[in-house]
Amino acid sequence: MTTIRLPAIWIDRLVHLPESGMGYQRVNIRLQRGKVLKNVMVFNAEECQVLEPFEPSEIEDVELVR
Amino acid sequence: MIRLTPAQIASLDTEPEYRMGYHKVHAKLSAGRSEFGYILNQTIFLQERENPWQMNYGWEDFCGEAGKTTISIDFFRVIPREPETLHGVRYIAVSKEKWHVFAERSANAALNACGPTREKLLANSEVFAKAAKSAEAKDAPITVTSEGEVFKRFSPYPNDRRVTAGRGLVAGTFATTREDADAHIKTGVDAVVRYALPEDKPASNVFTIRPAADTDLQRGTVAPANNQPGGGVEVIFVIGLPDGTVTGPITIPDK
Repeated sequence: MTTIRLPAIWIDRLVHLPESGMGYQRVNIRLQRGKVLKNVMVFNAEECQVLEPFEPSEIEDVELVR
Repeated sequence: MIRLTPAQIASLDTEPEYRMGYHKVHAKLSAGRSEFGYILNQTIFLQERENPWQMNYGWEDFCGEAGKTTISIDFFRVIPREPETLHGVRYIAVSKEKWHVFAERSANAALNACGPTREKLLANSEVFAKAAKSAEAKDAPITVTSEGEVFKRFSPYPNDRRVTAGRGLVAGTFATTREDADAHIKTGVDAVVRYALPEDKPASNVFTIRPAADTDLQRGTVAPANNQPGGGVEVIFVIGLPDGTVTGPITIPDK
């Protein structure tokens, strides 16, 4: 697992979305190259753990998994 | 509808209700058959399909209808309330009632079926029973806090971003009750286990939350997840909390 720190724009977005559990959110991350990373855990709205590393600047959208 | 005998009515004095105002029973009728049903106000037996909440009846109507039948109840067995409804999660139990009904209905139908139909009904019953047991806060109806109620939030991060600059909470933030925390959490690892947190880091920073009475929240039980058993009490502050309601964190040992 690789831990990636999210850019401020996404931190701000996630802070205003509901949590999935105490201290974490489960999200889908869409990257600019069209790839979608599903069910990614984000901790404290700022750190995510992924199997495949990516550049934080590649993030195009982050959406909460309901 | 069948009116109970005075002895049968008295026998219910010591039996716990299934929900407020009624008992759930399995009754052997004088007509020879057995029926699942409800006993309203310890007095009138309704078969399961005679759902009282779908009837536009007053109490006198129930008594009048029950007086018309010649069938009586030979004996009945009281069906106890599900254990998970007995520990302060009343609202969740009500919201799950539909799944309890479906599960029981499928199981009953399976008794009279055979072959693939029976297998399918049993499988359906299991699925419904599983749905009925889900008691996570996110699935619970919104209720409110009581006067003086205190909550705790555990985090690996002292700069927990759910806590606002003015020491409030943003909407959709999870926490637990002070009672659950005091009884079960001595270390940050304890919190990870009981609240099924996905983090490797111990949640050793403890925030104390004191909302005003009648604050909206959902209450539930943490489901097993993230290779942790869960089982703790979880609450969600649906619309967040205003400034000045959160203190801390204090730090507890990691292990």
